[in-house]
This record gives sequence, C-alpha cells and structure tokens, in this order.
Amino acid sequence: MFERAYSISAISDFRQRINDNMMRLERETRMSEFAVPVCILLLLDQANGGNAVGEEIVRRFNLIDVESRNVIDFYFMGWSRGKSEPFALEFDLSAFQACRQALSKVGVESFGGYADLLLFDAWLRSGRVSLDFSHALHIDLADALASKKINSAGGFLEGLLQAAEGIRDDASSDSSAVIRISDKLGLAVAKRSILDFVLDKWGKIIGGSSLVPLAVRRAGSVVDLAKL
Amino acid sequence: MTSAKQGQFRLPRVKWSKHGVSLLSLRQGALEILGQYTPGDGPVVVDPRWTKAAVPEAIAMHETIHQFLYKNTAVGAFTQLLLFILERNSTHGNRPHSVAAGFAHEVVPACFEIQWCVQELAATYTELSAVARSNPGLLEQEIRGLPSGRLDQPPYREAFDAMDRLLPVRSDIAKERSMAQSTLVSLLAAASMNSDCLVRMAEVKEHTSKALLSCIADRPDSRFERIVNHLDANGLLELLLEEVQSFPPERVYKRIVAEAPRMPIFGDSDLVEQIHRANQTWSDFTQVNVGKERPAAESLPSIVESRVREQQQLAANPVQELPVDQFRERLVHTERKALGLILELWLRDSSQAYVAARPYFLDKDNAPFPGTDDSEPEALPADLAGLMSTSEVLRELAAFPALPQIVVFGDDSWRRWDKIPNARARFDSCVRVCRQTDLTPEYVLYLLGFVQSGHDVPRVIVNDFRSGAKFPSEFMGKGVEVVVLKLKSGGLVGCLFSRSEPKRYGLQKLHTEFAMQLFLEICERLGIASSADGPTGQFVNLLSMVSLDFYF
Repeated sequence: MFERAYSISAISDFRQRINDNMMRLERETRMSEFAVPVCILLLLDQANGGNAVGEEIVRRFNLIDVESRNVIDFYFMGWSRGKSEPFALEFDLSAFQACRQALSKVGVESFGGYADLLLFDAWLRSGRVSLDFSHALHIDLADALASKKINSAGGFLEGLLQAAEGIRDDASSDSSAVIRISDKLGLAVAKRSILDFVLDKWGKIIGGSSLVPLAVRRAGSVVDLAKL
Repeated sequence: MTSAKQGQFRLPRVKWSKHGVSLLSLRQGALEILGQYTPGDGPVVVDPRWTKAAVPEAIAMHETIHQFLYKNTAVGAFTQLLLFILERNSTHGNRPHSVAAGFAHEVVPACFEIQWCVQELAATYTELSAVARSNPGLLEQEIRGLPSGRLDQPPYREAFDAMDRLLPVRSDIAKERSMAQSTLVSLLAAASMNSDCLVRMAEVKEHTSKALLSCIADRPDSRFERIVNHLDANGLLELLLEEVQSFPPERVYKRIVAEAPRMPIFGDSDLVEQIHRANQTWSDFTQVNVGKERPAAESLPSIVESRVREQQQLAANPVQELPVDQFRERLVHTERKALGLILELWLRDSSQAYVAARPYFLDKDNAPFPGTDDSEPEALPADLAGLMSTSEVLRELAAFPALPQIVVFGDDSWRRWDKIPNARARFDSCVRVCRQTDLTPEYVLYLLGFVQSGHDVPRVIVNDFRSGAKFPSEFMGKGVEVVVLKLKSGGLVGCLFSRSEPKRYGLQKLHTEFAMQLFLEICERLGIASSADGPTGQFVNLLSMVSLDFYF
C-alpha cells in the first residue's frame, strides 16, 4: 500500500517526507530535474477557533488517503493520527502554529485562519529540493464557501481528486504524456510544473462558473526545502 | 541483486566546517542524538524512552560498528593516536601550542571528513538491516527519518542510499541474506579504512600537521568507492555475499583484499605492529605506550540518559540550597510523627551533596518497611530537596540515630560518600540502596562492588572490564544474585542483592526490554547468578518504593 495523505505534526516531518519522496523518485525515474504536486491543508479544529469547514475536510482524510494516492500528496499541518484504533486525526495547536510560523518565515503568510488549501510544485533541481510558492493555488476555503465561490468544501476537494484521477488516466493511456506516474510511489512526476495540468483538469470538472478560486498566484517565493 | 554499472557508486562528501562535531553522532533530524561512539567510552545509546527511537538495539548495532572500525582498522587507530596527540598537547601544555593548534585546525577535521561516509554508511546500513529483520513495518519510516544532505544535515541518507542501490535493504529478504549483506558492507568499510596511513605515520621525517595530512591522502571514502565499483563491475559482490554466508568473516576479508583493485589493504595481523611503530615515531606527542598486544575486545554498549533532557529539567527546576534549619525541622517532624525517612544523596565530590528527604508511612510493627494500609490519618509532608554540605548533613543526622531508615545513593555517589571520615559507618544500620540510572558495564561493576562488599572496585579491575580484557570473573559476582523487578507502572528495574547482606541493594534502571537484555548480559559477564526467587516480598515493596523516581 502507498501512504499518500500524511498528517504532519511538525515541520521537520514535512521536510523529511518531501525529501524522502524526491530521493525515491529520483532513484526510480533517473531524472535529475522534475516536479511533483504537493497540497498543504491548514485546518483549525473547532475547539481551537476553527469552523465546520476544517472538520469536514478532516473527516474526509481517509477518503483522500485512498483516492489521491496515485498522484498528489496531501499534508495536514498540525494534525497527527491517534495512537490507538481507529487512528482518527488529532489536532495539536502548537504543532499547527509551528507549521504556520515556518511557512510565514519563508513568506507564505496570507492565511484565512480557518481552512486554507495550498497547492504547488515541489522541484528537484541541481541536487536540491525546492518548493515553488511563486506559482501556487491558495484558497481560503471558509471564505470561498461564505462568498459562494464554492458550493461545499467536500465537493470542491472531490473535484481535485477527480482531476488527479484524470491525470493518472492520461498518463497511463498516452506513452508520450509529459506526466509520468511513479510505479513505486504513485506520484505524478513531470519535467515541468504539474500544477497547471491539475488546474486545467480541475477547472473542467467544476465548470467555468466556478473557476475564480482556481487562479494561480504568488503565495510566496521559491524556497529551498532545507530553509523551511 | 547488484546492478550498478562501473563508476556509478559514489559516496557524498562532508565538510567539518558545515557539520562540525556532529560528525561523530547519529542524529535524528539533526536535533536529538540517538546514540554515539567515542573511543574510550564505547558505544552509547541515549535513553530510547526519551528519543523515541523505535528500535534501540539497532542504534546499539550502529554504534558498535563505529567501535569495530575504530578498533580494528588503520584509519581508526590513526584517529586514536591523533586524538591522543591533541588531548595531551591541549591539557598538559608541555608541547608547543602551535603544534596542537595545527592538529586541531587541520588534521582532526580532515581525518573525520575522509572517513565519515564510510563509517556512517557501514553503521547505518547495519542499523537499518537490523530494523528490516526485527521490525519490518518500521523500515520505511526509519529510512525517511535519516538526516539528509539535501536538508543541510549530515548526509546519512545519501550514504545509505548509495549502498542500498547495490545491495537493497528490504524486509522481505531472508534473514541470512540480510545479515550477510551487513557483514559484507562492514568488511568493505574495514578494507577501505585499512590503508597505509600507519606505515606512513611511522616513516614521517617531520612532526608537522602537513606530514600527518599526507598520511591520510589515500582517503577511505575514495577507496571504498574504488573497491565497490571494481567488485560490482566484475560481478563479485554476489559471490562475496555467498561466501559470507558460508565462511568466517576473516576469510571473506582476505578474499576482498585479493579481489580488490591494486591498493594497499592491510589486515588484522599487520595492525598491531603498525600501531606500535607509528606510536614510536610520535610518542613524544602521543605520550602513551602502545605495546604489541592485540587490541582489547570490544565493549558492550551503554544506555544513558539524554543530556538534553537533563538540561531541560535543570532549567525548569534550578537546584537550590537546602537551608540547614529546614532539614533539621524535617528530621524533628519525622521522628515526632514516627514516620519513615528515605534520604537520597547525590555527590559530585565529597564536600557537597544534593539531598532529598522523602517521608513515608512505616509499617509500625515491621519497620523499616513501608506500611500497606492506604487509609493513613494525615497526608505526608512534601519531599524536601536541595544542596547541602556533607559535613552539615552528618552533623544534623547525629541527633537522630534512628533516621533515616533507608539511604539511597544516586548512581555511584556512595564511592564519594565513603571517602568522608565516619560517613560510611553512619548508615550501617540503614537499608542502603545504590540506584543507578545510566546503564554501562562500568557502572554495573560499581553496583556489584556496592552490594558485594560495600567497597569501591579497584581501578585496575574497572579498566580491565571497561577495555574488555579478561579477568577472573568467576570471583567477581560471588554471592550476588540478579533479578528484574517489574513496577506497577510497568517500568523495569534490575536488582542486585546478596543474601549475606540483606540490607544492601543495587538497583539499575532498565529503560526498555533491550536494556534488560543488556543488563543481564553484563551481569553474566561479571559472574552474577540469576536469582530463582529474588529478595523477600517486604524488600520488594521497599525497593519498588525507592525505584519510583526512575520513572517520572
């Protein structure tokens, strides 16, 4: 089984996991330069001032784990699996804040406060791993829901998962596809940004009237993973 | 299967200026030390309950490989001589400072840089192979947690990956094959570290840093790459793996030497003479005598408390003076209320002690044992603790001959307490307990001395045991038995006791099951017999009471 959706209790875990993926992909693909999509979810639980949106997404954690495992990594910052079955996600405010501070330190600051999604490319270039926040999708899910830009957080994420599925199908049916799916990790790998592929698919799924939230913007700069 | 093409195997390089002293330590996320090896101290595992190391025995194996490579290779011996030079010139001050400064700034960092990857590759590979065999479900997590050069940490991950591409560490391969892979990697590391550095060291004309640097020009990391690439290109790695599973390591090592590309590779039989000659040339600087005996056996690992944890606890609870009048009042109160008193003493030297006075309810008909009735009429006063001079402690105790009922010495503090005039006799009527936290072969020997005779262990025996030299162990543990107690909290405590000394006990904190196995192995080496029935139930209650501080 692949373990694709990760709960991240500290920023060092996030670093180690991204680095681990990139090293394994480098070894498997023998490519020295490539990008993979990464999705960060910053969700407050209701006990610590969050709202229902965050908790709705957390409830879908296991679904995301299964459905996304062949394309995108999801990282739930500040959440960790419980120590006993059924291993439900547990929120740790100090870990969440540490993750937010680490992102803020590298210039990724504009969080809505309740439930944010950040989708971007992680790159391997010249033997280093970097996170490209300069070309990212950043959505304040709570705000998008309140302003009716999206109908529901769960449905919105479902579109992302379907987009991921579409990319996987494309890659497997087209031998010339620029996106490759890792045999060992299941991640999507490409020599150019995958974010645009994902957004293109996603946009088609949710329809033209809902495209506004899917605008790529500069959420920060390109950050060396070691500096995070 | 081995599959790399010739020239593909390459190790990362490290820089002292970037990674500093952590080159010697295995680190988790470059934040917490899991274990370490320094020549003289043996392999050390930091309390796995603190570091959350999932497989502590694998950490011990990691550090044991460092010990093997330091004790049994030319570069390892070179490093030890170099450290002697550095230490003696720094501490004795009877050599030109410029020489010591030169060594410190140039040779020592360079010496660690050239061997770091080989050492850590062999050690990490062995560690993770052990994880794959014993806890396969944790293998991916352990690999993922390795510090990585790409995260600006020491490149454990890159070093491991380089070898893993050729000889993959997997949880689904046979145990014999996994162990053979580990052994082969360690032998390859040994071959790469058995260069001619000691021969060169013996032949230098000038005692300079430059001369020493020239001795290690044939770097172990480059040698390792050349050896592995050559063996791989000629399809010999698989052949060697088969031999490891059929023949002793010494024989396989000779085969590696025979099959390796042309380069000086020495063996066990050359090393003793080489170290002796190299030291002769540099003896004015090393200031040690190195005979022609074979190196001492490798010592068992130790498990020690985290120094980070100790510092955090000290910062949170700074040590304060314990006013004499408070201590006196506590003694008066204890006597008046007919309570029991545990007096705990920690001494760094003979003049001052960290004192903890802990009251307990006595079993009134059967003192000094703790009472078993939970419905005591009033709450016990809080524990009292702080620093006092040892002379004050003795003076205040003089007026209370029945107190304390139990004295607990922290670690080997009793050795320093006994050096104070009349101090040893003061506790003759008490139950005396030595409570040992760090688990090291040396400290278990002290624990044995405490229980057996109450006298300090002669230094020569300690040194022999520490270095792994043989000594008449059949006399060592005579009359002493060992038993492992399980506390209600689940914590494990090793207990040494003697039926002829029913009021003297040695307690050893056992951090994990691995610690228990290690403790029992040390006891066996010391000739301490396993007890069938342990101390009496009353003493088990008493010892459980004084063991609680092990697990806070």
